[in-house]
Amino acid sequence: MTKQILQIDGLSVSFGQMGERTTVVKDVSFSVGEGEIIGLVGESGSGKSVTAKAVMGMIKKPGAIDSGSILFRDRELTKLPPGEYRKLRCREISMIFQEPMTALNPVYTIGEQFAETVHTHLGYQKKQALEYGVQMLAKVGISMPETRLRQYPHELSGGMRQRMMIAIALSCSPSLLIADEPTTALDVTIQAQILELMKDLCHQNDMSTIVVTHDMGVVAEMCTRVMVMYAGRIVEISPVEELFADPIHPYTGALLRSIPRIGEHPELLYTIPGSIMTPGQRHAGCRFSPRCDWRLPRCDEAEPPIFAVNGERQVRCWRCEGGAAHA
Amino acid sequence: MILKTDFRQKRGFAHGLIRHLPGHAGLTAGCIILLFYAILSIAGPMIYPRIPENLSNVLKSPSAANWFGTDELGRDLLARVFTGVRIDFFIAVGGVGLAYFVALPFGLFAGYFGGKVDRAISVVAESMLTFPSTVLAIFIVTIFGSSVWGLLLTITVTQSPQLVRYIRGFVIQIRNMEYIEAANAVGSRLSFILLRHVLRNTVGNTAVVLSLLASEAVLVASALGFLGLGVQPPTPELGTILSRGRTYFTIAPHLMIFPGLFIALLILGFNLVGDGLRDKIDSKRTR
Repeated sequence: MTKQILQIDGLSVSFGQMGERTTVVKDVSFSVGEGEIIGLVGESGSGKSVTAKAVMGMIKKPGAIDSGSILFRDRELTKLPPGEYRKLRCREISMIFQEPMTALNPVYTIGEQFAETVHTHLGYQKKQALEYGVQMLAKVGISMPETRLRQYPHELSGGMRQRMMIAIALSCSPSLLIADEPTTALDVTIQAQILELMKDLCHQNDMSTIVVTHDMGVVAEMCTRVMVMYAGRIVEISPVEELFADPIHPYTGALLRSIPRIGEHPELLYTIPGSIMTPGQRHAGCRFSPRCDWRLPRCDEAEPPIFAVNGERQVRCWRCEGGAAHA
Repeated sequence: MILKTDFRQKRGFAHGLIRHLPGHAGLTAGCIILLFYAILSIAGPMIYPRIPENLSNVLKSPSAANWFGTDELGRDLLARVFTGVRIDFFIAVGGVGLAYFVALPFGLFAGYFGGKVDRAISVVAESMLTFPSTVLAIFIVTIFGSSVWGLLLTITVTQSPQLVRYIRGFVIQIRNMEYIEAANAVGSRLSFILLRHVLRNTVGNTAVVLSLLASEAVLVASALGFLGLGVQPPTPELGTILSRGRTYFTIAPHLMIFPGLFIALLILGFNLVGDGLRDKIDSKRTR
């Protein structure tokens, strides 16, 4: 087993005013190994982005981390003062955003925004920063980097802007990259290029990556391990091949079944009946039980803990108590 | 791989503004008017002739010797109006400029941090705004005194709360943009985010508000002058000149016409620039 770079244990995040807080992410535990690319999938509102932001220390008020620990290289991040956290960002942990269209400030040139980051963390002066910028842009596959650095964000295409975001995020060689839906806003051909690029850069720099996405294709393309989130809980953690071949949690199974396949022409695309439970909804049992095809009586009574299955896999389902089950 | 780098200076903000001037008649006209006032204010005494007052030459209509005529004490009205322009322009621009510097930190903090900071600042600003602006101006000018500086400070105090609210609003818009979050994610300093990312993006909208507030400031300053609460004679302030001319309106209407005209033109200039800038800056508004 490789060394763990990030270890999250029992993380809970809630939002709201005093007294009336709603838990959005509950009891999330996982770890990321050095150089590992791990996927975090789930539908909208399942708490993926909140989990990612918690690692970045960017949960905005009225949100707050209620409990749990985030251990990064043996440093407890939940107790880190804001000033220390700021220095950590980009140097150690970096983030790529979903919308490259809005993640760059429209009134500054690409070069100025690149220089800002490099100046803050590495202390580069303007000329040095821009020369480094040319190198980094070339690295992320942007042609004519000198020209690009002088351009404003609106002069670049979406794919190029996302490459730019990657260049900024990787400028200080972080050891952990969090990509929050990095390809959602891009069209399919550009998606493939960006994913390939990210994969290459991760391997080159031996960087760990958490890919937050709702796209199973992205997961299959990039990751070695996947975490599936549902309604603020992690329901399954599994190596990629095993997850696709043999999903254990009923939700994972249903999720995979709802992906259309080329060559098959079903009358109706499979959908999971019902809709996701809102975070405020009270329910004693498993959050998925109202929609589950495999529901047992106890599923409505108590929430299942995480069970280890076949050594490497972890599943939050009562059917896995004591042994393996299949969905 | 050796890459040759040559970083061209990026085009300046002023250059961009001038480039955009043609094609918008209102903005161009407003800029010309304000430029005219600015030149008059800065170089005024060098442009117009100094004609000594002459008590045997009172209330004369405009003539070749006195282009705007003379007032009740035989003083050349042109010289008085131009000096008045200088004073009013200074009060308006200075007052609003000072108000901007006072309001900026409050607006920035209230907008960016929200929560308790926002509530505290907003309550103070809004309670000041509950007074009718003229009443508040009269009250404050009595504290600061009826001098040029007194009026300037009055403008500052009456307009800061409005500006705080405007800036706060602009900052809230920007604060929720993803690039602010992105800047946080790469660990930018707070001061950097506030001054470079947030402030820079509010400049355009703030410029519109500032020019509209400046036109209001001219109005307030000359209104106070007209009421006798503004700059005191013999200092020529446009409102004061207007007020004194009222007595002789039937026999010497030029005493009211010229200062009135210059007040109106100045207000028009600020308004045209404000409206024009809004058209240029706000891309969402269809023209």
